Amino acid sequence: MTDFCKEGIDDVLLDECLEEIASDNMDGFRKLYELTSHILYGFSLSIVKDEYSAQDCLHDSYIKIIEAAKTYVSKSKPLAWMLTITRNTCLQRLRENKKQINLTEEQWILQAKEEDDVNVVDKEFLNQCLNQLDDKERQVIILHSLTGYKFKEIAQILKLPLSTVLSRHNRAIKKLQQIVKQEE
Amino acid sequence: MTPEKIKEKINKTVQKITPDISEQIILDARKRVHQEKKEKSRGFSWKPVLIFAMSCLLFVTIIVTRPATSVVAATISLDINPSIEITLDEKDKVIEIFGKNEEGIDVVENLNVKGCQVKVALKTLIESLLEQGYLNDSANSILVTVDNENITANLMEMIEDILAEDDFDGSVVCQNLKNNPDLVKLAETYNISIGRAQLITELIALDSTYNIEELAKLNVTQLNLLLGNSENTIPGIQRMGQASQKEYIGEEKAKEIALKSVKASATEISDYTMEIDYRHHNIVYVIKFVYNNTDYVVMVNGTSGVILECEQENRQYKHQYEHSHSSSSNDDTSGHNHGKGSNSGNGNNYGNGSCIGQKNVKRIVLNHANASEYSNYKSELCLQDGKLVYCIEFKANSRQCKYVIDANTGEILEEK
Repeated sequence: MTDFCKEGIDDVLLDECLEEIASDNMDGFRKLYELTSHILYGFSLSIVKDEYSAQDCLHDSYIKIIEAAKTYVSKSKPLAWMLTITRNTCLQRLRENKKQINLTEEQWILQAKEEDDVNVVDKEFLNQCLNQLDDKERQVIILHSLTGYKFKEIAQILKLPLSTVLSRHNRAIKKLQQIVKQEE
Repeated sequence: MTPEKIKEKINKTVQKITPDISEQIILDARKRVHQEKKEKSRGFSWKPVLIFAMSCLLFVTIIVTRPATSVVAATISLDINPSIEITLDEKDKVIEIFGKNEEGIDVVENLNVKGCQVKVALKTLIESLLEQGYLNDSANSILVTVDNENITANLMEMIEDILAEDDFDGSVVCQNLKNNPDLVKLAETYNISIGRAQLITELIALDSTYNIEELAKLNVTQLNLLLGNSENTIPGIQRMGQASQKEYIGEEKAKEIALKSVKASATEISDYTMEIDYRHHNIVYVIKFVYNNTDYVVMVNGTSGVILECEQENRQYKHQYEHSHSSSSNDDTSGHNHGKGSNSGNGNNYGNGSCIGQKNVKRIVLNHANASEYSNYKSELCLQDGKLVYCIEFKANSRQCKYVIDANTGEILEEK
């Protein structure tokens, strides 16, 4: 895990960014984007399972965050607030599209080739994570991997009991270890 | 690969593939603000007028073209909690879906299942309940109450299929709604659904030691655990799957605690049985077994693992006693009926040559101590001066109570 994740997200810094956005200073947004975009994107991807839709959700979520920044009242959990907005945006998109799109392996590889600095093997692994895990397992594992949040906080974001989050996490890890084993 | 390494790999890959669309977002956000300001600055907008006109048109169209009102052929109530009601027409299509409580309203808010076949509606609903965490590993039970018994079997099958498709280890309890106006009152009084009120009423009819205030507080999974007790079999109720025990210590742990309390090992006991019950405001494990020629009944708190009650009866004492007394006594010698399906008589037939049994002796001492609440209850069948007696200890009304009761007559011989 990266150092950033190990230390956890700096909520004070995020709150400062949101304050800047509220006063129309878009440098605050650029900072916020740099700190959180991979988390929101990964979380979107874990719900909608498709890069293009995830990008759209990322876009719409940040628009909502910018608009809501003026009325945002810090409860020391800015990232949880942003993740809730992202989750609702993704679920709304799913409802509109009625179904999730499962990309085939070939599609993922094609998309991977378009990005120079991404290892195709790594991307295939991510593809496996998205397709082999069920919806709930995927969301738990992505949030835990990207945010460094404790299971209790993930349970609050996903509105699930702690025991459920823990069992889904353990199940997902077992499946992923199996995938890695097969790859090796 | 360790879980940490796996997560690191996911993290790195996601970081690399995250698109940088920050400038596009800033641009779009500004466009939206600009657009809003423009709309506000206009002196007059046709938009609200148009919306109103279209709403009127739509209303008239709906009134003119709506089909004749569907006849409700069946009503299905689902309790998880949330509580949800679905009405069906004669072709098993959904006429309406309602939330019957706050959570139910929340769940059905975005479900568009009107006109769908019941299976499609149930699948959508169950998946939404799973997605929102109302159905989970700990709360895995659904109570289904149907007012049309012709569809009960089909319904069970459908829900079973849906749960299997979603790979969810759930449990379904299905009952037919009875025509009992008292249930409506009961449901209102305790703020529960009519289905739960009916189920609770039937459990109390089987075991009068249950109390409605207490059972009304239980969730559907806890009620389902009680239905798993072999002595709580309600005619007409169908069950599928097992109620989750994830919130509790589990059968194996409870057994281990019970055996440890009497210093017995699993290989030394026989006639082992285990039932789940609700006593002392808790889900409890009631464990019965024979060890050293003694019948034991140990009640273990399902959450904390604390032993709440322990009753023991030496088989040899009872045997010798019964031989030396009336030969006509052949009822209630088990003694460890523990308040369920008891054949221990009604409490008025003592002195017939048999032991009065643990249930009766408990009733006598608790009545005498005026104890509605008690703890650390221990009861043992002993020989005292050649007489067979029950030696009982428990805590009630903030004091330790001790009794010696004549095992044949129920007479209180000693009290401290």
